[in-house]
Amino acid sequence: MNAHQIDLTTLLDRIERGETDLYMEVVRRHELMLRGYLAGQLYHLAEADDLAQEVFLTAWRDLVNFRRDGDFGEWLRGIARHQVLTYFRSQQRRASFMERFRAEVVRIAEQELEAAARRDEAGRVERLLHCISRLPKKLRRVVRAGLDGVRTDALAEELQTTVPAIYQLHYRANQLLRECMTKGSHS
Amino acid sequence: MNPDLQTFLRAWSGDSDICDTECGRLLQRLENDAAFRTECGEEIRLLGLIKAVQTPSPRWLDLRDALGLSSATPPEPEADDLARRVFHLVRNEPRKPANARWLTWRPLTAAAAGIVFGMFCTSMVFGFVVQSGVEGKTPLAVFQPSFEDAQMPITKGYPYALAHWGGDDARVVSAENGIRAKDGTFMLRLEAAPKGSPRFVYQVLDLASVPSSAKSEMREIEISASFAAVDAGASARYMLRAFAVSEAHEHLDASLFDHRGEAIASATKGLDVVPGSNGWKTVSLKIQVPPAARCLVLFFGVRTPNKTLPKAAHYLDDVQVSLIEPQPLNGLTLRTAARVGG
Repeated sequence: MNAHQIDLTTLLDRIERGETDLYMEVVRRHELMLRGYLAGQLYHLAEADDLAQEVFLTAWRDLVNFRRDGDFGEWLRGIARHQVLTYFRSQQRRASFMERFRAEVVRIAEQELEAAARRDEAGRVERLLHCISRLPKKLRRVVRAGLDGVRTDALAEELQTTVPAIYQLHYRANQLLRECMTKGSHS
Repeated sequence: MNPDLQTFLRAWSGDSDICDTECGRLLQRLENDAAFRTECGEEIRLLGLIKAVQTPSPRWLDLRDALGLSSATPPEPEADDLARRVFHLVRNEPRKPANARWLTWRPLTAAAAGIVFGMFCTSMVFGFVVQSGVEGKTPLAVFQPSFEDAQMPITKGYPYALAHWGGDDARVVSAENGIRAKDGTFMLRLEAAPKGSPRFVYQVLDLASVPSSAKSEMREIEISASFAAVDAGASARYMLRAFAVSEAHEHLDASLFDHRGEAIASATKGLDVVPGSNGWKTVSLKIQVPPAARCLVLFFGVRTPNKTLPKAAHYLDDVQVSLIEPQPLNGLTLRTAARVGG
C-alpha cells in the first residue's frame, strides 16, 4: 500500500514505531494548509516556509503528545501560532510599520484566523489552484502580481487603473475563488 | 467592499502611508468589531493560501536531516513540484511520490498544464518548453563581479555608495580549503556566523545603466551568482534577493532593511544544498522591474539551518546581472506570445 493511501492515525502509529520516513507523507498532506496559514500572516513567503519547517520539526519531536482523536491540522496550527508570535517578538526591534501592524492583527484576530483555517479541508485548498486558473484574465493578473513581487501602484499603472481599484479587483477575485472552492467541495 | 476592509488590506500589504494615519483606528475597530475581524481573517487566510498554492514546496532539508533521510534521493527541483501540482489537478489523480523522475515527463507535464490551464501559468509553461537562448541577454555592469581585486574594501553593513560591496563578515581570498575561484583567481569568503544566522553581502545597481530603449516598459532582469562551501557536511541555503526601489542611490541607506516591504518590486530565490554536495552551485532569479525603479538592491547570502553543526565558511563568485530581452518569435515577442495564450 502506498503511503498516500494510509489513514492518518495509522501513519502516526507507524511513525512512532520507527517508520520515520512516513512522516514526509504527513508533511505532504498538511503542507499547503500550514504554508497558507503562515504565508497569510508573514509578508515574505521564504520566512513563512522557514517557520513551516520549524513547525513540522516541533510536531515531529512532540508527536507523542498529540491525542489521536484530535485534529492534527489544528494541532499544527497551534504550534504555528506560537512560532509566529515568537517570530514577531524577535523582529520587534527592527520591524517596519507593516510588520508591527501585522503582529498586532495576528494577536487580535487569532481566533478568526483559526476559524477560517478550520473551514479549509485539504481538497478545498488543492482546488484553489484550479480556481485561480478559471479567473478572468485581469483578475488572474492581480492575484498573480503579488507573488511576482509587483507593487500595487506599479500594477495599477500596468492595468491603467487606480490603486483602490486594484484592491477592489483582488477582493472580487477572492470572492470568486471562495465560490469556486465551495462549489468544488460540494460536487 | 467595505471601505475599512479595503484600507485594512492596503495596510496589510505594506502601504505605509495608509498606516501612518489609519492603522491605529483599524486595530481599534478590529478589537471591537467581531464581524470585521471575521472578514479580515477570511481575507488574510485566502491571501496566504493563494501564495502557498502558487509556489513550489520547500525541500524540507532540516526536517529530512532530523528524520535521518539526508542520504535519500533529494526532492525534485522546485519548478517540478509546481508542475506536478498542476498536472495532478489536470489528471485528478493522487500525487506522485516526491522522487519521480523529472526529466522523463517534464515536457508532457508542461504541455498538459498549459493546454488545460491556459494563461494562468503560461509564463511557467514557456519556461519549461521554450529552449534557453530564445531570450536575449544584455549584461549589466556589476562592480567587481568576480572579486578580482584582492584589496577591495568591503563596507561593513549596507554599501555607502554605488560601486561598492557591503555586508556581513566577508573578504576577498584566492584558492583555499580546496576551493578554487569559479571565475578568475579570487572569490569572496563569507565567514561563518554563529547559530546559523544568515550572512549577506549587498550591492546597489543604478538602473540608469540599463539601455535606454527599454526604459519605458516593465523590464526583466536576471541575477545569478555561484556559491561553494568548505564543509559540505551540513545543509545550507544559498539566497538571492533583489529589491527594485524608486529612490535614487544617494537616498538609500541601512534603513532600507526596515522598509524593504515598500520596494516597488522584489524577488527572492533560494537553493537548498544537501550535505555531501560539492563544487560551485549557481542560483539565479528574475525580477520584473517597473519603469519607476531607479535602483536595484541585490542581496547574496547563505544560511546554515542546522544550528548544531560546526560553522564553516562559504564562498561567492561570478555574479552576473543581465537585462532579458525577448526575441522575435513568429512575428510576436516571447512576452506577447505568452499573453496571447490566455
